[in-house]
Amino acid sequence: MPEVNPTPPPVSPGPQMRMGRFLLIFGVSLAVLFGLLLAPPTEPAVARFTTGLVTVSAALIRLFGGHAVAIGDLLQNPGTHFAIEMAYGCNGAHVTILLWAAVLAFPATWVQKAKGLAAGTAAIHLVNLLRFISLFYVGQYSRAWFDFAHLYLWESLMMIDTLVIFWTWAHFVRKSGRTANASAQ
Amino acid sequence: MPAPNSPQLRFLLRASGLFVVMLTLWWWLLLSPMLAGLRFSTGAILWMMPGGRTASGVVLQPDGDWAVRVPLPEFLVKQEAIQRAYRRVPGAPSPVNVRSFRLAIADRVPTFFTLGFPLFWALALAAPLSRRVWRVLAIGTALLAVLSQLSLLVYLAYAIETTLQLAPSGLPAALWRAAEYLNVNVLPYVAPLFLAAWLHRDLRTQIFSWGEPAPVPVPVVEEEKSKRGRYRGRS
Repeated sequence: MPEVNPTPPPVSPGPQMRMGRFLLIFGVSLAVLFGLLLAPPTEPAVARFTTGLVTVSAALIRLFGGHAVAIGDLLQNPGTHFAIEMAYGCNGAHVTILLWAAVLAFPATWVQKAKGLAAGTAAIHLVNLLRFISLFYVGQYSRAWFDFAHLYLWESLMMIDTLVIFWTWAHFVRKSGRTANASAQ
Repeated sequence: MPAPNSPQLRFLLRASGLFVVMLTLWWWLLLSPMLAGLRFSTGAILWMMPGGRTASGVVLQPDGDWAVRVPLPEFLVKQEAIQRAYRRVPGAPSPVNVRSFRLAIADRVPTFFTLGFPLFWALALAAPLSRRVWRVLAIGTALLAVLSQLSLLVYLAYAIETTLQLAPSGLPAALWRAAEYLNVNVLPYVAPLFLAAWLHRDLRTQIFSWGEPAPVPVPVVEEEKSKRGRYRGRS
């Protein structure tokens, strides 16, 4: 008969502790960052940022031979006068906050976190520009398709992108940690 | 950027593709029964509220919008803000008798609260497949059903509050506004992500890799030796 150990081997609390710590910092960061986003004093800065994104979108469209002008937070086709507005929630701020909170909560050095915040933010806004420009063209084609793509399709795809951006950064952080450990041995 | 054929890139492509499929399925087949279910459960909740048996209901309008009749509890009706909203004459001996509040909701609002389902299904199915995935799908779908119901109730409460101007000013009002903003603009997209990462252990392990065993070094040299040996044997 094989010997049966009545007491199971102790489970290492490491991963659970880390996850608990991650969730705590993530939650606090989310609350602080969303609080900042929705606070009245930051509204002018967010509005300027949104206007900047619309200006960049118009410039990109013109660069590739299209017709668009930026009027504040409106992107307009000067020929047809069709225009779309980049509203408060459409400037990629929500997903950026999610990414920032996750990066800040993940165990990494401050340099790694700074790199993750910069590269991740750039990647998110690159996708968001693509989203905004595509909506500009879809809207000129069909209002119904615009609503569908705007409300249901693109926002969810942005979420998936954000998750993958975080995952990729976390993968590189772990990889560099292993490399550092290996070189230390 | 993820390297070609990396797990991140595979997940991105699979999740995006699956999401498009699930969204199509949701839009053409599932949305109608889901909205009917949400209408029924909302009606049942309003019916169970104080005064709900005589003054509550959710009716589908011909244009697809919802007409919701929310019963107002007696303590709320007696409040000055509500009496003012219903134009009680100042100095009148008896308060204005209000039993319910009628509210029209655009059809895209409840639709929006069910958007989490296709996103969650896509994320759960894009993660490494295992036998547990059906359990994850079932629990996540049930939790999302509860969440969509709660979101709709919060939306109704906020709509009534802003119409009747019941909220106090200052910090409570700001917090209430923030909660509503997050409820409508953030929660429908974020909740499926959190649920997928929380319920799907394999996905969570892949993203965080906490508690996974240390990587085993690949015996490259030995493999090359054995290959050489085989070739020698053949020649």
